[in-house]
Amino acid sequence: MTTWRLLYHLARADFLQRVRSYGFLVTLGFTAYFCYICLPPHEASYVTLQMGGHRGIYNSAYVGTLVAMETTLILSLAGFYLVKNAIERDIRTGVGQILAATPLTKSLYTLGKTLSNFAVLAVMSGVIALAAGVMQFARHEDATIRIWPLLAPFLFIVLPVMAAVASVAVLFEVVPKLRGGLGNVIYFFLWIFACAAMAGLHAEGGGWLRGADLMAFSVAIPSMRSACELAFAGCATATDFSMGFNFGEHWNLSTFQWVGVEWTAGILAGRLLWFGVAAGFALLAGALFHRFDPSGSAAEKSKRW
Amino acid sequence: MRSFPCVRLTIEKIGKTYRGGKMALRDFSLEVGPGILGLLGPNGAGKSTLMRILATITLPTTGRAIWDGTDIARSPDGLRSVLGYLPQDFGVYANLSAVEFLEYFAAAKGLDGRSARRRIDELLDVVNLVDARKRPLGQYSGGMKQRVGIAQALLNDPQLLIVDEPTAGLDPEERLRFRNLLSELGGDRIVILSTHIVSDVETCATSIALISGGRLLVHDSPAALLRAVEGQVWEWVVPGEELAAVRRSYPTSNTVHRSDGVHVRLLADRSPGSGAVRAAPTLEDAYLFWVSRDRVASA
Repeated sequence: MTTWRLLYHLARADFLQRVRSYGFLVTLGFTAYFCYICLPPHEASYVTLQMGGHRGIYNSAYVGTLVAMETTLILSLAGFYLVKNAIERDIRTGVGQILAATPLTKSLYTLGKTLSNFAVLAVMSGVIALAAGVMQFARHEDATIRIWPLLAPFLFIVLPVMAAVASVAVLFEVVPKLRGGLGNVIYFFLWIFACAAMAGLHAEGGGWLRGADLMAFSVAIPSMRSACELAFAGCATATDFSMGFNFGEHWNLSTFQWVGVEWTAGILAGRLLWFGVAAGFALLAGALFHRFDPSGSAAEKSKRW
Repeated sequence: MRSFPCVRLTIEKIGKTYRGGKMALRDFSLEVGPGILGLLGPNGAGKSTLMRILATITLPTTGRAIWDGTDIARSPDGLRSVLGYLPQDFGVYANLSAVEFLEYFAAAKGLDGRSARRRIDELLDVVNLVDARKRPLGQYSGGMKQRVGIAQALLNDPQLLIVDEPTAGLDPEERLRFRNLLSELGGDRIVILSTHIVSDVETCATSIALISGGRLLVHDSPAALLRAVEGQVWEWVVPGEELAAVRRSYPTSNTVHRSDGVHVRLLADRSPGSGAVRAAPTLEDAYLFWVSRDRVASA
């Protein structure tokens, strides 16, 4: 009980410090705008997802999944840079030295910081999810808001990745060489590598590997292609596929009906795996953490932890 | 406040060398019992390093510190559960209220919710911040933030309270209030007050350790420190143009420019010149005596 209470207070204080600022409000404004541009109208000069010149009707399932995948893609990069200052703040303010003089363990501290990072990213994701509902209504291709198909992709696609990002940010903060600009550059290339590697998975079926696809392309795209194939023959094998902001001439996409991802146990296991990865990174960060000793090397400190 | 069994902190030949070879502490030994220990020394003397070692934040390179029979470097948790620490550069989470900020530290110190709330209420009263308890800390003055700092250090009713340069940045009234608060906290716990301001320890310390160049110069009661310079403190009125020469010849604790010349307060074994009169020593004189003696010895 004390451990949970401690984790709660560690995360809460850090979270409140970050969200009670005008900067965070501006960030939320940008996230809402991001959702707006994720769902372009028919007449827009760009698309965010198309397969062979088709896309899904903006119903709750399609809106939720599309925006969730785009959010995962963007926040897994931008979110890292946004939250990678939790430990640095404690060093800068001197709060860390006080915490170091308490019985608080290093692993609980890094877990608490991971939770705080996660809470910040989750709030941003939540705002995008709410905005997605509003945008579905505004686009009015299917005005019926269905809560579960709209929100489930945020729960199962976005949040596990945000947990991983939150923990990697803490891990980068505790490794001296990764704390500064070099770490930022390395993360950028890691992100590109992860996106490319996961896109190449092409995992099919309902297994955990499909669910473990970081950006969840394997979770949603095959099912979308199948739905597209039902409406437009040849769509499933079309090589003309794009995801992300694709600017060009007037696209004039035709639409098909897609009912959403079937969240099988295998897919959910694959998604939840990322929470385990996050916990692992947070604990690893705890093992490497210098506990605010301005002089001690990790080897020296490990003598008494 | 509760009473503690007789607490004791033993510092045995502690040395600390930072990366790059800078030696911050060397062969530092001290035995501390209940009361207020004033750790006095010039900037860069090694006070903060010693505080950080005693607060279990950094490890000594040599030697050890013993608390309740245990080496705190090998087993720090026993001390940490009864330790209150206010570091020199204490900052806050500006967007949190005092209550939220203290709840954070109460959890870190292992207090349960009910005890934490009761203790926070008590301490906000002690440090006179009840009216400002819900205001964001970013709106607090330096003195108010420092009072929040001392409140967090007292959350677990510590047996060992370490405060490092606590009056830096405080105005005279806040400094006085802080000293009074520390005096009340003494009793049967150990309070270590590190400072380079003599007046901070003059009124409240039960013993004083003078530190310079990372070494302990002397550890004694204020009365004993004063006795050591008895008869060596002089007040002398000299012409303004001789002041520089006087300063070169004698350790000088104070100079006041008046119409009849410069009133110099200095240390000397015998009368520095005609018209010089003996003065009653203050702790500042004793501090100057030991530090200047150390400088001469080092030179």
